[in-house]
Amino acid sequence: MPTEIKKDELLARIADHDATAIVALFDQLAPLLRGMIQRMIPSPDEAEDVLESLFLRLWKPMGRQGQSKEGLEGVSLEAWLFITARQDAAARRRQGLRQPGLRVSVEEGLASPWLPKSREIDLLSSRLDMVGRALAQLPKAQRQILDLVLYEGLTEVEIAAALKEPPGKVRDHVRAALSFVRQRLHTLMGTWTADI
Amino acid sequence: MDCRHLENTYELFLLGVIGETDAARIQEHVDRACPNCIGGLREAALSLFALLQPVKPVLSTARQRSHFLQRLKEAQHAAK
Repeated sequence: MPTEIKKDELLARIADHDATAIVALFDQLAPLLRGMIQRMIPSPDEAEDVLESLFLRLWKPMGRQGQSKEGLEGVSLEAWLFITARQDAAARRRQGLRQPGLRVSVEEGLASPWLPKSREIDLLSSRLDMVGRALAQLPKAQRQILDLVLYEGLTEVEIAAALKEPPGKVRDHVRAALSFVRQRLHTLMGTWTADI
Repeated sequence: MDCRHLENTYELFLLGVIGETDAARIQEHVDRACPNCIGGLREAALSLFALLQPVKPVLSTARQRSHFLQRLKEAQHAAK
C-alpha cells in the first residue's frame, strides 16, 4: 500500500507538472472513484476508461497552460474529482451527450468559487459513518428516485417518464430528498461551511 | 438579488440534470459572484460528495495501474 501523501501537496505538485503526483493521487483515490463509476457504467473496461481519462485531464491542461499554484491553495481536488467523475460517467452513459451545468475544463473547475476546501472535505470524510446513518433515514421512495438522478443521470422529466409518475410528484421527491440530505449534513457538520 | 427560486436546484446544476434555462441562471449568478448562490453550491457540492461515496471501494489491479501509467507516459510524451 503506497504511503498516503496530503492531497494539498499533491495538487501543488500536479500544478508543477509532476507526473508522479498524478500517479500518487491515482493510487489514493482510484478505488473510491472506480467504485462510484462502476455503479454507473457496468462495463469494467468502459468504467476504467472514464477513470483514466479523468486523471489524464489533470495532466494535460495544467501542464500546458501553467495553472497558478496560488489560485489552487486549499482547493479540494478530491471534491472536484468526485463531481466531475460522476458527470463524465453520466455523459458516457448518455453516449457522449453532455448535460448542462458544470463548466468542464480543469482550470475552470478548480477555479470554481463554490468548490469546497480540502479542510471541509477532510472533516466530512471523517464523519462519513454518521452521514451514512443519516442517509439511511431517507424515505425509500425518495432514495430510489435520488439514485436515478445520481447514478442513472436522469433528469426529473426522464424519471417521471420511466416511472410513469406525474412530473410534479417526481420533482417534489427529488428536491425533498436533496433538501433532506443537505439539512441532515448541515446538522452533522455543525457550522457547515461557514467557519470550518 | 433574489436567488430563492434557485435554492433547490444547486445539486441538480452540479449533477448536470437541470434545464438549460435554470443552468444559465445559476451560471449567471456565479459569474457575478452572487454570495447566496456560491454558498448554496458549496453546500450542494459537499452534499453530493457525501452521496457519491461508494459503499465499497474497488482496488486497482496490477493491470489497471499499469495501463494507466502507460497512458500517462503517452500523454507526457505527446506534451513534449
